[in-house]
Amino acid sequence: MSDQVEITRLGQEAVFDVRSIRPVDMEKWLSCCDTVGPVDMNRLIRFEDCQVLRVGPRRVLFKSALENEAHLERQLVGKRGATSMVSVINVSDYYLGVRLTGSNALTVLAHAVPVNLYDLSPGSGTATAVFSLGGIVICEYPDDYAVLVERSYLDYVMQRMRVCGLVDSAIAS
Amino acid sequence: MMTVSRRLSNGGQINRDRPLKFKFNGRELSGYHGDSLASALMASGIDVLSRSFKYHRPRGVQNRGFADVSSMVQLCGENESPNILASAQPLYEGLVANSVNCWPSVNFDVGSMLGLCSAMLPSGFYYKTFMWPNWHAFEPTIRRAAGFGTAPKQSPDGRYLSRYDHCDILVVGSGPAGLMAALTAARSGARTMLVDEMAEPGGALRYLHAKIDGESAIHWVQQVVNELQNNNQVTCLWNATAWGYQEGNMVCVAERNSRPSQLLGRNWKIWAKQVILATGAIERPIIFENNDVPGVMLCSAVMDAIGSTAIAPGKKALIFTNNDGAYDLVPYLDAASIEIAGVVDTREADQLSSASMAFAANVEVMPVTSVQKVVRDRTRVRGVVVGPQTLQPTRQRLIECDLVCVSGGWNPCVHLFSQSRGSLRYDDDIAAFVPHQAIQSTHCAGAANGRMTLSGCIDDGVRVGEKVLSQIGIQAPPEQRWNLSDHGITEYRIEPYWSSTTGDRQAKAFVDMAGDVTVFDLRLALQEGFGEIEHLKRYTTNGMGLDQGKTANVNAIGIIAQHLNCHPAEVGTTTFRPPYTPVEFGTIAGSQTDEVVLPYRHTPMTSWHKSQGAIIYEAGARWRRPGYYPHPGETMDDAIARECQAVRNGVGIYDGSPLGKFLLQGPDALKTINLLYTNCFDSLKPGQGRYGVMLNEEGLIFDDGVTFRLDEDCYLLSCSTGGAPAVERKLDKLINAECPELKVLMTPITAQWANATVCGPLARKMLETTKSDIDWSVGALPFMHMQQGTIAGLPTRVFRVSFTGELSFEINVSSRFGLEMWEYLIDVGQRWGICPVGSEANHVLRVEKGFLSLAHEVDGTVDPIDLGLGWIVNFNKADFIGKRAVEVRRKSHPTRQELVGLLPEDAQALIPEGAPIAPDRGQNQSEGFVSACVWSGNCERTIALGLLHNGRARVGETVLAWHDGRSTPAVVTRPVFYDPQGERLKM
Repeated sequence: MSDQVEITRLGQEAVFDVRSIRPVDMEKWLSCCDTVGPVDMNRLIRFEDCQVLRVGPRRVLFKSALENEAHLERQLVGKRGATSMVSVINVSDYYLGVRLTGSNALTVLAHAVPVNLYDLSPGSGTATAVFSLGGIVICEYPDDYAVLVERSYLDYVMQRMRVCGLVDSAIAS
Repeated sequence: MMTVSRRLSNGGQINRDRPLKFKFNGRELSGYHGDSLASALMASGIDVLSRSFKYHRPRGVQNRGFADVSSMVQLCGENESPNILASAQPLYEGLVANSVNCWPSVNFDVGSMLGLCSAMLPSGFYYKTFMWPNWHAFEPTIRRAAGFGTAPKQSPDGRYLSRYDHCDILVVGSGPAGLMAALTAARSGARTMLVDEMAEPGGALRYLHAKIDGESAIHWVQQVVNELQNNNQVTCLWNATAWGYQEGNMVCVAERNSRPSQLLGRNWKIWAKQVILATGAIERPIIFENNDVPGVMLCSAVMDAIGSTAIAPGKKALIFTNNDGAYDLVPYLDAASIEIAGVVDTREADQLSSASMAFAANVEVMPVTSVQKVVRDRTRVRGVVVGPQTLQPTRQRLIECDLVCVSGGWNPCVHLFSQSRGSLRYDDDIAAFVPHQAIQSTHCAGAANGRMTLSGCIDDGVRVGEKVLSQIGIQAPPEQRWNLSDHGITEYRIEPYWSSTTGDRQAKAFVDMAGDVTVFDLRLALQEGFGEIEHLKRYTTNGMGLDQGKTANVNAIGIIAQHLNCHPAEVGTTTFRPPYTPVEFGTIAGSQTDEVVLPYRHTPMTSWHKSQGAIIYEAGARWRRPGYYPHPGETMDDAIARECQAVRNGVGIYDGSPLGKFLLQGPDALKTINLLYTNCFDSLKPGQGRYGVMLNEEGLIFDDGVTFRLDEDCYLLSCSTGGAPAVERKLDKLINAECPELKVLMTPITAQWANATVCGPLARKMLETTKSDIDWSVGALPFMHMQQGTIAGLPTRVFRVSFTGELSFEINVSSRFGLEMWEYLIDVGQRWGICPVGSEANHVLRVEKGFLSLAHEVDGTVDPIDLGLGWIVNFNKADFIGKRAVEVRRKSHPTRQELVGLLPEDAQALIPEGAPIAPDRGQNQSEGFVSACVWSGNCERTIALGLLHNGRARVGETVLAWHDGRSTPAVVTRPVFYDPQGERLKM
């Protein structure tokens, strides 16, 4: 099975954590953003050059290539003027990611993540536990998952993912 | 030892083209693919597999699968594991197993001598016997005498996994009802999971002679399973026991790897929208004297042996029953050429169904009769004593036989249903407990639902499958009918009959084989007042063994009801708890073994520390930090002393990245901080920082740290490394639960920032030589202030905070630049003799200054005033967490343990941390303890901090610190040994 899943370290990306005090504050703030349609829970949408993922009624993540970091920060912080009830925090260095690709990516991921991965269709994501640690799982394409975890845990998560991939192949063979 | 093969020349589900060699108790034996270890042993003529738990009586195969606790063995070799049930262990090439609980051998076991004094060992005897002088005096011997096997010595690392899954419908059990339910669900397109504890699907269909749609039952099973396995919406797991039913319709399934390989097991946590429990029913015995002797088997076990594995378990059999199901066995015995000595039926002749009578047409049926005793030789049945149920000795009769086939009826397997908190009811028609009211989305089907015929099970599987689909809004497939023929007893009648013994002290009539609990034990417990079923269970251990009462519980309830002269429903059942079958700890732990039980965390500079030979260990919250950087030939003490001197006299640098960091933002951020800390932050201006102490609700110190105001409504709160997770929880609780009205947002950002702290009297001079736009002067960047700028082109935040008591600059950069910044500072610092400093030197430096440390002085029992921090508690503030508790405590003017410095009279003496301070060795007179003791190069002696009763008033007094039975005298001082005015850190 391990040859049907590739586990690689993702390069660093620009990530912004936008939180609001009340859900209504988030709606108000989002209405100022030029997003493609409404920001539904756990759906991945695009905003300018970045991906937007709403992971809670009061929390939205913006993710983009690292070179867009400064531009995105200006954009988001500028929109913060709409309400003081929203915080925009640059967490680009807080998160690092693992990428799982291949036909058995879901199987390996199921060892780490308790949420229903069958509901995690391409173009969706969620905030969840990854090996009991806080993390973000994003499925952009079929059999292709990005898992963001706190930077200091990345080595551990990579190791566990690889162990699960390798050992799981033993039971499948 | 000569053995005779009991394998029949044809039949069974075994693959005779695939012989397998294995070893049992050192003997080379062989079986076939498709055998269980128990069936292979039985085929080899081995009757005794193990010795019983308490009396060391010989035990052989009695039951099927996981209900057969008498077949327990120790699996050896690569897959070493104790408490393996041979009846549930698939045979594989090279399997090695040994009997358990016997010495020197299973056939001659010294422990069986216990049987001679069994009258002295009734249930509960150890509660009464081993009271004097102390239970622990006897415990090791008793534990050696009892017990089943030994834990594997091989590391479990990498041999177990744990995973999650979700489905629409989870079907537990792949017998006729389970297969039908799964097929119905799968054909509708529902995402379906089917799990079964046995290595092969089919349940009873693997041995039943029935025909379904003209095909043999096993062929039909294969067809259904093929269809399920070819459906990509279906996951089938064999060798997988659903062992726990949790909240939220989550079922834990332990999947075992029955072959020797890297992976031994995997635990699945499966959330299902609907769960169908098609767990079947477990045949129960009838209790009589010597009912545990090898050769006494349940009827279904005999049918399984003949039908599945082509074994004739005996030559001459007697059937003992109280229900129609047992008559199904007659054609099996005939087919295996086993002579039938008769059918002993406890019922009246007119209670037998016509089908049963037809099956037993050529056999002597003895109605209103019971087996009262087994006559045996050393290891096997040689005959039975039968007689009227009145137990009149004059009318007893001895019947020679070597196989006793018993059936006391069937217990629906309601364990998981009960674990799901569903209620049970006693069904008089089948004399057993059946599912009643479900609490979760749980449904029972087939025999688990009280359907005791094959047609009933198949119909029920379809019905429940359709019902469940409708509940989740999925259209059921068109109904499919199955034509059954030759499927044995079509009507199940039973007349409850629990035991044919009165429960004499000497009569070994076992209710619970796993715990050697006899009818006498139950009677004794009742006599001693344990009439309530839960009390009786604990007193006798009935149903507490490996089988968790699968065969014992209902019989025990029946016997108790008989003794109490009440209905079994009035006795009730005990609580069913997970695990349903024994589950290895490794399976539960999954891959969380050794170092990955809790992960270690690395800073961006960890690779550099390692390259410099730093000794790295955990420094709280699973962060790994350098302890010290030894030079070649240097001891740990030398390295620490060198690092300390560098900070006191030159410049040092340490990795402070793991310190906890949180961003508080929003209109009520200040209000929140004032609530969290004991002092007031109102006057804090942007760019300024202030030290604060955080209390818990009891007014005791929880954590401490420095908070900087970054912006009008944005604060950066720092805390200790080890306390960061708890502080995050506290903040989360405060903002979201206790004070939801606070308009504030908290974001943990510890890992976002890397921190290189440059400290020492030369720190400023060194930093002034960096390529930076930061004004390092004391006027522009005074103590407890911050500046933002760049160093070597990297965006930087510099904080003037000191944990060492020296001039100190905390240089924070985004983690991605952490290593680059660190290497740059080391490079620039070479000219100034910069020295990397580990946490050990930091500890010495902070002790010299009397700074607090979590888990040393802050041990959860002290408030700020105890530590001489009364100046930081502002009682004039409207409120802060712990305020009232501190006020109330202080109003009574208590004399408490207070922070003091200690100077050991022997300037070289190191006192271990935690050493009690007491006037003598009496533990009751402890006056405090030593919280830290270090060698201070700066003081040229050892110094210590401690908490001492009324300590501040005792400066100058000599106290005794005790360790290893010795005392070290130490003089009490103020807790600051270096720069008491704090001038150096403010330079």
